[in-house]
Amino acid sequence: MINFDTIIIRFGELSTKGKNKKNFIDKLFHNIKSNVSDQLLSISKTHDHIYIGVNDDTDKLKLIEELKNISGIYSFSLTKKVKCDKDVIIDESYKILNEEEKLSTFKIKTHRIDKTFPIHSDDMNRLVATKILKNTHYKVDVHHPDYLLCIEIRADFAYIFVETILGLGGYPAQSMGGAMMLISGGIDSPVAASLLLKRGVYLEYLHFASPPYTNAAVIDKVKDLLNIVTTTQHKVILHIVPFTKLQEEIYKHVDESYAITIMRRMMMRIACQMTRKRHLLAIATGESIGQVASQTLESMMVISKVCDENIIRPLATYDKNEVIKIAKDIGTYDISIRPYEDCCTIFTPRQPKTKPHLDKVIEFESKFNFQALVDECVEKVETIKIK
Amino acid sequence: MKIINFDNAATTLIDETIEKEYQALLNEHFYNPSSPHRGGYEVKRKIDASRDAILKNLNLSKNDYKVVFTSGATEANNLAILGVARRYKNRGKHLITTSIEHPSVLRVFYYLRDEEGFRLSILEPDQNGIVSLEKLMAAIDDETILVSIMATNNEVGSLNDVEGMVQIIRKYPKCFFHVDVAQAIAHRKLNYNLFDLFSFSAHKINGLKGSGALIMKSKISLAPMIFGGEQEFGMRSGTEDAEKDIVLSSTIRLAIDKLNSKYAVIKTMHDHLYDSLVKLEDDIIMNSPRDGSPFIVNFSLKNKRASVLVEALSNAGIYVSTSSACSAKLAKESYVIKAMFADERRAKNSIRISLGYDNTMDEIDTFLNTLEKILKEIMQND
Repeated sequence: MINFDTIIIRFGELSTKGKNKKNFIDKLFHNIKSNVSDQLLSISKTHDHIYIGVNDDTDKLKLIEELKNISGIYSFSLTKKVKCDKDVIIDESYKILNEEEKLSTFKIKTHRIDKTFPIHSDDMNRLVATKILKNTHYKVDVHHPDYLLCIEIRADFAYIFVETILGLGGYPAQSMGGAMMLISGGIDSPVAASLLLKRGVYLEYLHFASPPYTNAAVIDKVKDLLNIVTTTQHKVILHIVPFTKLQEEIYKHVDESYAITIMRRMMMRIACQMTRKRHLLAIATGESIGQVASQTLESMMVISKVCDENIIRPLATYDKNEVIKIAKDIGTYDISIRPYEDCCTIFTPRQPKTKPHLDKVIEFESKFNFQALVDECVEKVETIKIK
Repeated sequence: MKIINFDNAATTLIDETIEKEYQALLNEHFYNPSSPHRGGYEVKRKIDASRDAILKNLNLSKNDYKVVFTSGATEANNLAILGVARRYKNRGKHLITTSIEHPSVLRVFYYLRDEEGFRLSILEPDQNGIVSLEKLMAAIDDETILVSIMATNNEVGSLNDVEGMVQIIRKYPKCFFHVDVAQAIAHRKLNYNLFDLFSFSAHKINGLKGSGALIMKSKISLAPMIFGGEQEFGMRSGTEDAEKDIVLSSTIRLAIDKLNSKYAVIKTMHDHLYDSLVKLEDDIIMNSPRDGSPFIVNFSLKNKRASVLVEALSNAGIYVSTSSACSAKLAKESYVIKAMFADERRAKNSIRISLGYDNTMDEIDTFLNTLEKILKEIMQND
């Protein structure tokens, strides 16, 4: 591995943002600074890149892992920074390549970003390659080299690197506004949350608890999930809704087959009120079209009718096995499958409606004063600062 | 919120005097009893004195019995069963136990059957949770070398007539009788002279966790499970946990004292509790026999989920136990209730109240009031 001393960080989509670009870069800069351990020597930004300086004491592998988790980074490279001098560049390139053992072919790729540098990229390639060919047994292969050495020549320094590591992509954290994420403790909602966080959305979390039907261990489960999903977030707020009374009233007044539909409508009403109360811009759920009865398009339509907040469903088109794969990758799967019931699973009607009729729903809801209970739920929400 | 602990069969609060005695030993008599200096000798003396005191408190002669200290009843059960089976298998390979033993007995038997070629007879209980003498008589034969039957069942509190069983087993001189007395030693008067081996844990009787013993007839030698420095008569190697082994004698003494002086009080509390629960016939069906151990009362909910009730009780500061997991996914059922009644729903929704000597009648009444209130509030659920 190259003994790198500088990391170049590249933005992907950010570069298309025009006026907002500076804001995003500032946000990303701030996020990198606060999320990467204090071992960096230096960090600086230009309108194109962010540069991080490291030294021998830096735990480089740890740093790479941390950078991979920061949203807004498109890719980054571990580079050796050298003087913009032809001979220095040639020597350093040779040194780096010579240290590699397990290769036989190589290719040099120079990118002369600063056009005032006197030597053309092609010429630079040839000069470096010549030195290597003369002094080692390596051969050049322009199509499938074992080793691709890149040289970026900029105004102040030249950067030599071998690999480009892909970052998380997306947008910098908290750069895109906020949403209220409904989180149950199941497999889907934490995955949906992680996708939104990657996209730079600030999330607050809403969980419905129905003690004693649901057990205190579920809350711990939700907290454990949030700790994993939000490793790079600094503010994590969880709102717990005491849902027991309302849930019991639903089951008392509503036909079993409609109970889930109406329960989801109540949850959505509560979510709407909470979203407005917290000045957020949208509601987010882990729903996936057709996954269960309440997630068919018909059900979603009936449920969404209760309020006019924007509802985002990041997993709408994902298959269950795709969601499970992400859950395993991000480390939430094993926690999600802990066998504690949440209020979505404790009363399972035998035949929940997959295509509920809106007029029937309204008829059932007219049988009890749900608004007072919804308001009570919102009033009694317990808000916890996880971070 | 003041906690009412009705889960004493799971574990108990350590007695204050035991705690103090233990602490004092930790600071002073911590030496290795095998060490060749005064520090070690003192500790060895104290351990031996503890063995003698334990036997004395259980009315056993130290000529006839010996105490093997273990980490608790689980280890003691394992040692007894594996130890006898492996040591005496040349005499026979038939073993007998019941289907409602504690897992630390049952699983050992299954292991011996599956991995070491022993033949098992597993006796079923009746609807009172009791294994009859007739069943034992029908199963035992000349190949039997071990019968292991618990004195008091930990889930429902049923009392086996282990003393009566001795008559039957004596007819088969090759056969040893092991009795798990974990839920009986402080809870039931037994004549330990009748048993060949018996085991218990300290933490069920206001003592320390990680402490217990297997007491056995001196003439018995067991194949050890743990090899090493040959401590505990070569049957259980490992540097003695001297402090725990020494306080075990006080633990036993206190337990027997309480049994002698406070049993009647517990019986009164039990009867009141049991009879009050019977009245809630719309919601509850009793699993324990009325004349079982006064320390354990087990019932099932007829049409509500036990896990919900237990959670509600916990939120109200009352701790009980259940077989039903708080999740339909696990849906653990009590194999004891299942063996007694063959009813799956009943086995999945059972609740156990287990009393300790510190519980009071007021606590029973508080529990009953809270129970009734909760039962009214929670919804039906299959």
